[in-house]
Amino acid sequence: MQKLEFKSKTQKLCSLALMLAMSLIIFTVEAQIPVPVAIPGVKLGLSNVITLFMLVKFEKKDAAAVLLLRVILGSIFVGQGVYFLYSIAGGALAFVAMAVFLALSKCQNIWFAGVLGAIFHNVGQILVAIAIFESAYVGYYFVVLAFCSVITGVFTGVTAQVASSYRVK
Amino acid sequence: MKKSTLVLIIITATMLVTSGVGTWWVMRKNDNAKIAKVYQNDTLLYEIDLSKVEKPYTIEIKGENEKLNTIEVRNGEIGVVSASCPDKLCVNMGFAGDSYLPIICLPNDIMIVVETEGDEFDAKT
Repeated sequence: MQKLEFKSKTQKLCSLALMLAMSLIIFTVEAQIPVPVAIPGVKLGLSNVITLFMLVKFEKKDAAAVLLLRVILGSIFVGQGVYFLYSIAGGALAFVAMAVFLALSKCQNIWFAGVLGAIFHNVGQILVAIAIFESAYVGYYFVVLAFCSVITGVFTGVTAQVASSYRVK
Repeated sequence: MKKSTLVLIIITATMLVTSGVGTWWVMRKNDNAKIAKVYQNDTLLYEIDLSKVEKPYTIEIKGENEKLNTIEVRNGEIGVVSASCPDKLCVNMGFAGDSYLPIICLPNDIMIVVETEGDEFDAKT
């Protein structure tokens, strides 16, 4: 999959700003959608579409920068403070998992990176929860979160794959 | 369809089934609910023998910044009935005793674990 080429630094800066704005909008709108299951940590994870799209189309460090800024600004705008640690740990693990998979698969089967990203996001969340509560009992949540993640991960992954298949002029 | 795609679809389906069975396993009704342990900020606040509760009663747990959770204890069941946090997830989770999942309130750092008799699993690691 071809990376995007930028004619100037300004064009690149604008593209990155646009990506950040889009992921923040998705993140904010998603926070307003009620989730039908009362399990802490379950959500659609739609803003992962942007991270995945950027991993395919942009340089890795740019994708990482946008992800980091989205997590920080996202917790300021919508989240409560306590969720920041969960977001950052989940986001970082998901990012690494997706980047490794895309490097191995040479950007084929992008949808599966969405599934992996969602599951590794849960791994990060659960590790933080175990550290905060100092209890292995919260590990029970992992199976429930993973089940929801496989479903939502397929959707975000397919969305990112379709989005990446368009040629950008 | 490429072979690699097919393999990944099979892996995804396997993960879905495995975690689905796992979800059913932890969400199944816990009939042997016995000892409830209420933790706040990693400290054990209450240890309640649920089978000896005759009349339902409530406990209020206060946290910093006027955080407040009200916990109701009934025979064989324990749950959060009101919370000062905005998402109310711990309230919506219902009563433990319904499942093996511990009830947790992330904003107020409260965890309720229901242990069954003969449960060897160690809460504190």
